[in-house]
Amino acid sequence: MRRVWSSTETLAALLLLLPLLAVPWAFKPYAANVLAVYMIYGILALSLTLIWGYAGIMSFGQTAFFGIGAYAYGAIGLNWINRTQQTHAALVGGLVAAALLAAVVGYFMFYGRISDVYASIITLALTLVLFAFAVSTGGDEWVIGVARFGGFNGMFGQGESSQNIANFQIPPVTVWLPGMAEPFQFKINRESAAGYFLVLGASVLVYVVVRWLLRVRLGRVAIGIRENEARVASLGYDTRFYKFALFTIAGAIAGLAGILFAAWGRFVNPDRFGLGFASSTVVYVLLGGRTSLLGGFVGAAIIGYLTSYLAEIVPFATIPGDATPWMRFLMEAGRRIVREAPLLVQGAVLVGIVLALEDGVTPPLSRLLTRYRRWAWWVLLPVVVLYFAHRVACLQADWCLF
Amino acid sequence: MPERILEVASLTKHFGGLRAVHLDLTVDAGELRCLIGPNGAGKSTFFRMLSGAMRPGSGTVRFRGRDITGWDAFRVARLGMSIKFQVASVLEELSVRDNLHLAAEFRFGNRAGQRRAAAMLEVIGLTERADHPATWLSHGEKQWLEIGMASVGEPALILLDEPTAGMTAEEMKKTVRLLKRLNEAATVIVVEHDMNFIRMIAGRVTVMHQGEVFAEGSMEEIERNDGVRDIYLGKGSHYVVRR
Repeated sequence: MRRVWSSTETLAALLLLLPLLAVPWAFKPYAANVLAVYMIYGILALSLTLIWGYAGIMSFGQTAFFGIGAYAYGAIGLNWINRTQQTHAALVGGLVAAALLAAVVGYFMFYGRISDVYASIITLALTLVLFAFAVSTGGDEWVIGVARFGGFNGMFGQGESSQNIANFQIPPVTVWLPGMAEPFQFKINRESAAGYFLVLGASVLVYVVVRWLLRVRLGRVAIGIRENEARVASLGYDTRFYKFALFTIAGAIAGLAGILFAAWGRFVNPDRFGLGFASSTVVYVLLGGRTSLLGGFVGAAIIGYLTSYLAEIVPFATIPGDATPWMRFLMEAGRRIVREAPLLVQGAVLVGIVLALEDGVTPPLSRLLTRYRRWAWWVLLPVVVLYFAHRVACLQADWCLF
Repeated sequence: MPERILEVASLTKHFGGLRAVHLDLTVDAGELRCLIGPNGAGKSTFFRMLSGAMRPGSGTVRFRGRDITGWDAFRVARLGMSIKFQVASVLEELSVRDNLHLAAEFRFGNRAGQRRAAAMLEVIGLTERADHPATWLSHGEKQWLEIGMASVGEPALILLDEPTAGMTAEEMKKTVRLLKRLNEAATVIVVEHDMNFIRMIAGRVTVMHQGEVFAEGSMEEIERNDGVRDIYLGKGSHYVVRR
């Protein structure tokens, strides 16, 4: 039998986790904030990797479960936070809502013997229907307790009075367990990086759970279904059940990402159901590699970095005064395209990567790591550790070498 | 009198206006039955209906005393019927061992399934290739793996659709030995084209023609049958099936 955890994987885990653990001390809170949302999108992408990459069911609308998780967390959280000072019920409610929606949709899709091609269309339709619904909830009648759906403006709380700003936002994840003197909020700001570590912990947990799932019968049958469903059925497995179960689990994972998103930004609006976000999720997975569980995280980080930093850098690059009219035109056009259409950038990157690397970015990277693991252990890892140690020392104690 | 493991009565399938299968057939427990017939005789369609991969138009299939007509494939498999499809359909990206493990796990669970898979690797002679992805196997090896997958769950009835297609003479001999070994524990129905193979197996032979049973008997009887020779040489459309 293969070993459960190879030395290359230990290496990869160290290379990823040591820097990620150091980030809140090595950089300003902004970095932790940005990385947190990349990881949240990564969790969403991982849920798609699970059912698409491993079971072969393309769900174009994982965002439906993400959005439902976010809205349910928001609605329950806004109502309960002032009464109970914690969001336990909101966490459970968000997960249950997402899993339940996935279970209902999955039941009709798989027990109704809808072919996998239609599964992607149905899930896309689902998320777009939810988008249309969420958009149309702007009126005063769309209220659950103190939580207003708010249509395009997104969900917010009404508070006791309109001046009661504190009640307006969706609460961060807040726990108040027996034995704790006061509730603890997972926030990301100058004082605390608890929210960041919550997201990091959730990412690691989801990764480990999915990895385990793929090793037990459920995962093996899922891979078999991807390879040849009729064959797996003829071995005695009710493939409908396995697809249903996996789809529900993936829905719950997407819902978890939605909860973390709503708690991270303290906000959710209908865009989370939208076509743009749905296709972005597919792009993360394709770019990162849909046969790799880390792929979604890598894809989300690359796209997130490119869209936000390209948009930041290019528009403000000054056009030199002596530039030729052509150069001036090109720079101006590039600036506008990048600023106005991040999706265009995503598309271009995706096409480039898919043409160059069929399996996405992560599998070749892991092959490189396996091949040069000695170098990575003795050179790359120490360099990374030293770099981050220096960053921490520099930022926290002003011991800067350069 | 031996137990009847399979009873097929007036099993019919139409494709548009074409009647692909119209069949009555019984198989006793422990038999090694050969099903032969020219291309388009309805053998594979018949197998697909037996195993639940295709719903029959009308008629009944009784297996181990239960009416399984129109059952889903997984239920038929659970009752103890397994199939090797005509087109090799191993799970290409899984290792040889994992293919067998998946086939065994259903009946025996994870641990015992692993032991059964390892034992089956020995039987089909693929122990050295156990950890290769199935896609690396040669054509003959894939066929053996399929036979292994079809039999590792200890089914009562094994359907093998052209197990020797594309095999060399040496590989075919090995397959015959394998089939006889499987037949010690299970009833086997084999669809084949290769007469040498049928002779080596030396089981009871059913000849299908235009979806119906054309003749049945030992290999010697079948070889003496002029009608059978003619349908294989292409004159068969003159013959009307005896009913």
